[in-house]
Amino acid sequence: MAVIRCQACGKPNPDFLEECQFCDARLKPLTGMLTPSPNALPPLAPMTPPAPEPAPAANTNIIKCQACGKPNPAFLDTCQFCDARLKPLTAQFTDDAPAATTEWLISTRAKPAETPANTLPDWLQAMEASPAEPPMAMPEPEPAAEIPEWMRGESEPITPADTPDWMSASAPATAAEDETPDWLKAMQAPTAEPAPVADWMPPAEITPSAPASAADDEMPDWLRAMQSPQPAGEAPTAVPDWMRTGAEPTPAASETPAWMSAAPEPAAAQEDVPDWLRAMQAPASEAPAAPDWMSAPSEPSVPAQPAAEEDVPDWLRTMPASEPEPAEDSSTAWPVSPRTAEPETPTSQGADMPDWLRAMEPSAAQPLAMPDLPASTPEAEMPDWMRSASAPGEPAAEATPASDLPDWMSTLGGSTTAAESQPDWMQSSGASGTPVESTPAAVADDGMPDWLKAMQSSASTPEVPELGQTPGGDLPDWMTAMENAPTQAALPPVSADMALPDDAPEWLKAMQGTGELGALESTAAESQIPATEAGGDWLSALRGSAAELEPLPIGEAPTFSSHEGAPPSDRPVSGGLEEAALPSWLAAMKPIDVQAAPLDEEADVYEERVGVLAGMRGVLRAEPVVALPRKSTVQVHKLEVTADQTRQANVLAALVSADIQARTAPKRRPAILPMVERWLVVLALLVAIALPLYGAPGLFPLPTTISPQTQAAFNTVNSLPADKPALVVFDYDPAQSGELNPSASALVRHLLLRGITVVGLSTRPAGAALGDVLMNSVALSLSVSESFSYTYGVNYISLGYLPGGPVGVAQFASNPQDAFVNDFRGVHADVWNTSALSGLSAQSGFTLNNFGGLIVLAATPDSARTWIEQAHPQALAAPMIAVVSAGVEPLLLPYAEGDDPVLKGLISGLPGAAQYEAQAGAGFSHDSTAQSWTTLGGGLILGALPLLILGNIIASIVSLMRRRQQRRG
Amino acid sequence: MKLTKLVATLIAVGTGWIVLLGYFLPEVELFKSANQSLLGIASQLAAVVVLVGAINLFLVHTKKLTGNTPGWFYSLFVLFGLVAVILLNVVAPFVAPFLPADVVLGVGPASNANLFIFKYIQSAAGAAIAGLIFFFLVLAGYRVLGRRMTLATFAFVVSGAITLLALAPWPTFLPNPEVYDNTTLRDLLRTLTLIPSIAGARGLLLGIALGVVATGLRVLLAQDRPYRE
Repeated sequence: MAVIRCQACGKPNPDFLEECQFCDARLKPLTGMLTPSPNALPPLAPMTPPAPEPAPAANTNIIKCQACGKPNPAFLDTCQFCDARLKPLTAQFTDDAPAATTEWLISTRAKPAETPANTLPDWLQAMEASPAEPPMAMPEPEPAAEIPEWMRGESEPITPADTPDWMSASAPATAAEDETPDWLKAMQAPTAEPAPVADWMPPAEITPSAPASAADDEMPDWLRAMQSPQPAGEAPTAVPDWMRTGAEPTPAASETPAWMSAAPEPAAAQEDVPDWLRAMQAPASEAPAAPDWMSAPSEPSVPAQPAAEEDVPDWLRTMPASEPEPAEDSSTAWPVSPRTAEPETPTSQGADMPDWLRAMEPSAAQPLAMPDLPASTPEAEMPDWMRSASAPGEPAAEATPASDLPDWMSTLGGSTTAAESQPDWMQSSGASGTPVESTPAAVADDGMPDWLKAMQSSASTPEVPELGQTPGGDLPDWMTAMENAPTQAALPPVSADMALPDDAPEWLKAMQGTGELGALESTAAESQIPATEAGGDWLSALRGSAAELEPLPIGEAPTFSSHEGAPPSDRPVSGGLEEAALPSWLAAMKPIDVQAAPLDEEADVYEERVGVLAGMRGVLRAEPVVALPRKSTVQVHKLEVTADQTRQANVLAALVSADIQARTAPKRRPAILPMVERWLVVLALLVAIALPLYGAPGLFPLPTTISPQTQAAFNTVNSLPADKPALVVFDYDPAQSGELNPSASALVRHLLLRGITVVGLSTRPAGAALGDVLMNSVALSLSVSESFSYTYGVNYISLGYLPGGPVGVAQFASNPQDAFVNDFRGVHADVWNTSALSGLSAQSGFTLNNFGGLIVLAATPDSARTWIEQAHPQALAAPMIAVVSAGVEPLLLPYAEGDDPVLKGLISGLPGAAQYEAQAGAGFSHDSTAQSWTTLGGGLILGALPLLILGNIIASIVSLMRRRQQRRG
Repeated sequence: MKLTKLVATLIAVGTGWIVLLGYFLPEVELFKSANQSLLGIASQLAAVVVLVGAINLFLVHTKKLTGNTPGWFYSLFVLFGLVAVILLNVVAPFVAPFLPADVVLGVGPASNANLFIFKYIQSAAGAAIAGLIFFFLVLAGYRVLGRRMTLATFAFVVSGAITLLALAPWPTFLPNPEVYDNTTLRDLLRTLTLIPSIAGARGLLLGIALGVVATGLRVLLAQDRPYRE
């Protein structure tokens, strides 16, 4: 993507942007918008039709920036907001460029009413004061034989009737106009009404009129050149009419333009004659063949004043001394025309004049109608449109209707038909009512101005004097070379393979091998341009091509090639000859972008794809450089590995690879000893359990002593009220039934024997069934052994499963009737209305306190603690007894010990059951308890304890032997 | 805090304070009735939880059976017992007229069929598992020093032996001499066994009590929200 650096801030911008993304300054100039600015060139004016009314003064003081669009004062060159250039660079060349002429014209038109007469330049005041007596003595015209035809044609006396209207305006003003300066009023005297001002002429308010003292300084060079003495004899007749305004009427006073002839009181105005005009008078008196327009102001009676020469620039003084150049250079008319004049160097001024100006001395016929072309502008620096206008060719006015012509061109050539077609500025300066046809010699029949026609004729006329006749000692080198150059016939033939000199341009050298040089051969053959010594072949070729240039048809706007800024090699070849390089002053007129050095397009075509800069080109690559992983560019140093290290690395690699490989697990023979040992243990336990039961009955007698907790439990049960049911909680599973059933059976038996209704429940699903089975079995056993009949629902009842854990226990403790509706067996739909519980339900709001006692059989400490914590506060009046496994005993002893323990009794495991049965008497003894006691003793004392001791002793010995073997091995 | 969590916290804290006030202020009928109502709801929910647990057990073992995961064969037995008990309790009332007169299946959880299953299957299986525990404990004690002979293992073996001697039925062939002032050897061994165990148990109970109080306060003060998850 190409990058354009901003002219204002210097920062890079993508090429597709129109304005700088940093300072909003315009990056690309509006090349297509050639709108005339206040300083715009007059040649561009024909592109825009003249507007009838001038632009308002308020807008002219403000210039709108092309880049930012903000208003700026007119005196600024660059925008005060974005530093963009407001005016083209042509403003810098006001001394040389035609734009200065425009400014001058602007100044002349600006604020005429405000300009006092005494502020006018001297020369203008002189024109105003003494139109009748020309202060300048113009040289006499030379014989017609020595004058070119186009000059001779113009040397005819000019009658006032032939004077164009705008020149007629130079006549003395009959009455002072309100809005025009005096000098302009004088020029507009015959004018009935002021003509509208053309649009291309900027409003007068922009540039105030300069004071009279500075008139010379602000005077454009080309006009100063015109003020210099001209060789009267060489004055061409093709001088435009408006140029005659500064000339004294010729002896044929009738031919003097009206505005010239209107200059009153020449004698009185002699002192007001500007110095430069006086300087022009001196050589004019000596010039025998001064043209008419020059001879008019050159009055012989007015001598040249030496003192005035000091005010005249040196270069201007030297103009009369220049020698006329032969008009061999037919490519352009205006530079050639001075060459055609006879050199008549004044003795008083020729020494100070530069050589090149001396060569221009006879250029009295310099077309002032083209004020934007300075007289000193060389031929090569002439713009294209000027070349085309001055090139010989067919009269363009015939081919182009006057209506198609631009105004300024129409006024030059075709404006003779109607005053309306004249530009406004010309109408204002001339007599608007004067018919154009009355101009005899100044306007050709075809509508082309005489001076233009003369230029064309001089360019195409082969009879122009040769340059060799001109004493060109003081001429510039390039002009001298042109004068002394031989004609085309004497030039060496131009061929494609010709050897170019060393000083030839590079572009010409580049053409040598491309065949383009051959094209120059044809053009050079037809050209009459002499080849100069200094210019070399390329200049002659250029002149040849210029000679072939067709004149610009009048009425057609000059076309500006878009390739002006391109190097010569890149420009299109016109007629086989390449265009010449633009002169510096013309190149400076080009827009900024064209003039600016083209930046090389950056080769970076990277386009950002992420982030806020996505889609933009030419940005720094943030993601590829920072975010995306990439290979490190750090150079890794090569390790220096020795042979030993390599060998060791190989060994390590072999070890690692061997370890990775799967190894087949070695088949282990099943360890027989552990299996035998295991079976021996099982066998020993079986023997130990069975031996006391079958081989040694009475080996483990029932305990003869009773623990205090067991005794307290027995006493508590024994003290329970018989009229209140006792709540027995079976919170254990069948796995713990072997240890707890003896205690549970002894307690239930004791309760039933005492005639206490037993109400069973469980917080475990299996405990309810287990309790129901146990109570049923005890009742059956008692009915058998004691011949008591215990009925379900009357003597005992099972409530079933109490869900909810601690919450259920708490709810049941506070309100038992809400916890159960029916019994576990489902026999009684209303369990609280059964015979077993009717006594409780009769009491309003009964709780656990209404039970006679609470017996909790728990295999785990949590179940026992739940009942202790949740039910005891609601059953403070009901004593609580716990029957637990031997392993839970240490955790419940704290609740059973103390002065007022929560547990009024604690029965622990099988020993507690045995103690309880022993305490209860022979009637409570249960065979299962004695058998369990015996088997328990046999298994623990005869089985587990010996195995524990012997096994660990043997294991310790074996372990020590292995350690010794390991130490020995 | 989201609204749902706020509502849950308010419910938990409010319920806790109401139940707590019902405990401390039972004479206030409002707190007492509220306490009873909340406890009743919790108890019924616990019953539903049992049903949900049974359904979950059925689904888990069904998944194991259909997925041929390891142990699917045992899941088959579990499912068979579950389905059999349910069918037995559901079908029993309908098949009772067709059974002999001496065969009474009964109705409800305490029916003869359920008691038969409980007595001859569930209780027997539970006792057998407890017996296996005894066997594995003896075998482990037998191999303790063979696996690792350290001071801890040695102390474990010694304490085990003493406990067996102290709690097990004392055989007749073992002398039980009087050691000190009507204190026999067995009493001494029992004391040596119970003192450390009871001391440890009391400490454990104190710790549990403190933990319960702290946890209760945290829940009541909404500092701990186990219902949040």
